Amino acid sequence: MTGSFLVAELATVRLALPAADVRAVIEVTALTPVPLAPAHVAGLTAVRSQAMTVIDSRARVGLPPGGDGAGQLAVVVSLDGLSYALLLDAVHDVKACTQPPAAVRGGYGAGWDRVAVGMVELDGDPALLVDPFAFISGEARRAA
Amino acid sequence: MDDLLTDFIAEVREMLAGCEEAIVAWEADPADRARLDTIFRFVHTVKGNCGFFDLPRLAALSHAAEDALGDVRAGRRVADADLVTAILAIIDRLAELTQALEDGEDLAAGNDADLIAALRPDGQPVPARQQPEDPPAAALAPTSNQTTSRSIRVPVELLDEVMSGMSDMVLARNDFDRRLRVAGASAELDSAFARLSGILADVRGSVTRMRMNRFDQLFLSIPRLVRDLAHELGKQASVTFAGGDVELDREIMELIRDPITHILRNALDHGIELPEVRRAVGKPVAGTLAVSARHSGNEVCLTIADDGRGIDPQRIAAAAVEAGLASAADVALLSREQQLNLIFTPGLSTAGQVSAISGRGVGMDVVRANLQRIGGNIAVQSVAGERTEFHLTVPLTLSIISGIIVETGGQQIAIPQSYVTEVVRNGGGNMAHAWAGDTQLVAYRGVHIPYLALHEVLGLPVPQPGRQPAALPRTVIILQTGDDERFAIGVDRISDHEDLVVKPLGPDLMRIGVYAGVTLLGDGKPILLLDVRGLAQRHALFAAERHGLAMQDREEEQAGAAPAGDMALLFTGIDGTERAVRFAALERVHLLRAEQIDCQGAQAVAAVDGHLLPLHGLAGDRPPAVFSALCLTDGGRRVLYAVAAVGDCIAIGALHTADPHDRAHEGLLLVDERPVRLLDMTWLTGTAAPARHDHQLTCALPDDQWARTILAPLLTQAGYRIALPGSGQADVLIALDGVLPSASGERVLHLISDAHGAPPGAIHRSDRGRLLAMLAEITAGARA
Repeated sequence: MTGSFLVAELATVRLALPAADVRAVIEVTALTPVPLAPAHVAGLTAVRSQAMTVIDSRARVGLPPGGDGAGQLAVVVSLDGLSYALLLDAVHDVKACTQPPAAVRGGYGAGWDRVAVGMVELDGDPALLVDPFAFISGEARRAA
Repeated sequence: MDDLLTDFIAEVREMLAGCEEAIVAWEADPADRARLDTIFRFVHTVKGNCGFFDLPRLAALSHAAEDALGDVRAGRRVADADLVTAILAIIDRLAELTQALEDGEDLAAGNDADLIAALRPDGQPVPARQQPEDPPAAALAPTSNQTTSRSIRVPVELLDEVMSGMSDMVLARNDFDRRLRVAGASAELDSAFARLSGILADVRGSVTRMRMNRFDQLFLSIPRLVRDLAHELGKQASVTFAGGDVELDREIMELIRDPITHILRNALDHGIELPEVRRAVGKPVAGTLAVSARHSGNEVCLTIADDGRGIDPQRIAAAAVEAGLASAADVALLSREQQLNLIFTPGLSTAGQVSAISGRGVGMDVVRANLQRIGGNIAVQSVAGERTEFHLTVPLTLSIISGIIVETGGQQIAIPQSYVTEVVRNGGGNMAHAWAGDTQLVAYRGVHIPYLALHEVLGLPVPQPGRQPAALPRTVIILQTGDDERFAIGVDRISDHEDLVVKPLGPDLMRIGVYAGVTLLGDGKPILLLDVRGLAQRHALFAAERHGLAMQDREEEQAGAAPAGDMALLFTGIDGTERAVRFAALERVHLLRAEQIDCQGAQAVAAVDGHLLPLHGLAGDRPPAVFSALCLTDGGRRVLYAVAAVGDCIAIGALHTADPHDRAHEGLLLVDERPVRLLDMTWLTGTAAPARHDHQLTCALPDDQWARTILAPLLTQAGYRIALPGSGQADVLIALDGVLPSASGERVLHLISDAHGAPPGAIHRSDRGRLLAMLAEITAGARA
């Protein structure tokens, strides 16, 4: 996979998300918790009268859940007509990459294996290429 | 039918416009198969559709053209120039007739025999196209249409767009409303806003109606389906419709199309008998399916009935046991209706063999799940050998629902208004609250219904720290999910009442099973919409295995369960001995706590639903803290029998007498080589309290010394129930000297202590005979 990638950060890991999958970057100002929800769901939020499920990306990769989510940055992706906001620690900018992603032998660690697709070189630094939809479904769809 | 006819005309126009090009091309090249197919489809559709209207000329023309074109398609005939001309003449005539139909002209005048004759291979060719200078579609162009069309066709997407814009407008209005309230706007602003709200509500109604389809639309496809299926199965059946003018959101109509088709398939496959069978049992040879729709408040009720062999509840119950979905004892305790409704249980198949028509892996459970997903439901009724009726309910529209917003454990949740039957303000904490095992119950209008504390089931923190978790909160909402399915939830408060625009949730959250969607409040905050049915299901409030706790009367259902007379229920007593009791004697199973029991005297008694009933089966043992008791009746008297466990239901075979002095048992049954004593009901009830008839009427008495000490025992002795103070509801209110009891009821009896100035019809309080006679009269009236 080559093209544009959004560079972001989660738990000090540099991430690359395919820019084409990202609909928007938002700041989650208010979060409605969902009782009984699975751990990777932080709650619900609304952007321009559109409700979306907020995914606690840390919980999804097996890390302890982040804070209450309010004030955190998130990228919005759409799956099956529904929108989801993936909480991230920081969102940097969009970079182009011409090299295909490389698989890392031995995997990325138990939690990251659920979302990681491979490594890409962006501006000379490696970044972990993740499938944003895997944060929602819990399974990377495009294994490299 | 006017709207339907308009639709028909519009469709013919559209198809004519569509096949104009094909007609021209086919004329140029009669061997062009693709063009031929297009024209064939057109005449075929016209033929099919005009069968629903009385349009013999259109039907005859299209039928003749279809036959001729069918021959060409099958290779039995070559499309020569004469045939092409004849077909084109017919299409022109169809266009003319359609135009005439729209103009409201009488079509009966006129003859098409020449055109039809021209189609025959040996027929006289039509000299020429009648209006060669006028291509067929030109006459149909809307611009050339003299009369203004009464309907237009709009793409569904556009309607959806308008509806979604409407939803956003409602949201904006709610937001505006909230801001106005916060700002404390002037009266002028308020009235302007009220006007805007009114207009918005009207427009919303219109937009909702725009998306409405008449049931006729759905009914159109059914006769053909029934005909084809009946033919395939070697059966005869006709179908009747009622309520074709009932309207329903087109989206919902699409969603119920498959369930309806499925039920019709089942009815034809399993319900309607073969013609010879029907003749043998004296039914008309052709079966009848009846589909009817009617409005009921915010819902549409749809009934699909067949006059076939009916569904045997015992067979359904047996299938459920066989599939391991329920134990024999469980299903034996269900009413006939509940057994029938087991057909909606996932994993149950009663089809003796899987046929090509039904039993294709889509079961009634899927039908019910699909209906419930859109807020509808389904139930079945059947009379063996006579008929089966499926009752479907669906909401009128999906997009905007009215709901109440509640607060519990610091969280706001929306509840669809349609489920809410009552909101009880439990201000003084006067709602009776009880535990039955792990299930909480509240008394509502004299009946115990399951209760859930919403913050508890959602795992939220206790709302007011320091309060006992068992205490009822201030606001209790009574929810109704079915005919006899009511339950209550407790919340902290109700914060608002709003029109809600419901959006779906992601699969992760839908899977929890207690949320139906998400909705945005006026301030843009998303809140969850409670899935009321899902909540009841998640907590198995009305599931079959919980029947023992369901506090519903089974008396009238007992009458229908005639075969149960020969059945016996096995149980293990508190003393560990296995015994049996005639199934017909079983009224219900109670869960009792030690506090409800008095075993000081020779005969233990238990307090159940405000009655003291003799309790057997303890045999001197101290009662366990909580145990089950069978409530048994011989038709008049009721007794309880303590049990440790309820077992299977068995058929009573030979009854052996082992011990002639044992009057407590009718005899011995052989169950799998084990001797089991069968309880003698006459012995059990014979040792019970003095014979009296339970009239079941509840009387509310005024708060008065005489009423408590003299009147109450008198009425209890005569078999009437006394309403507990604060229970709120009674059948008969007894007023003393004009003082009414603090309860509500329909009938009032006036008692007086002084005959002077008494209202007409009043009874002197010492006139016991007259009082009892009046009560007996009310009882008789209530039973009639």
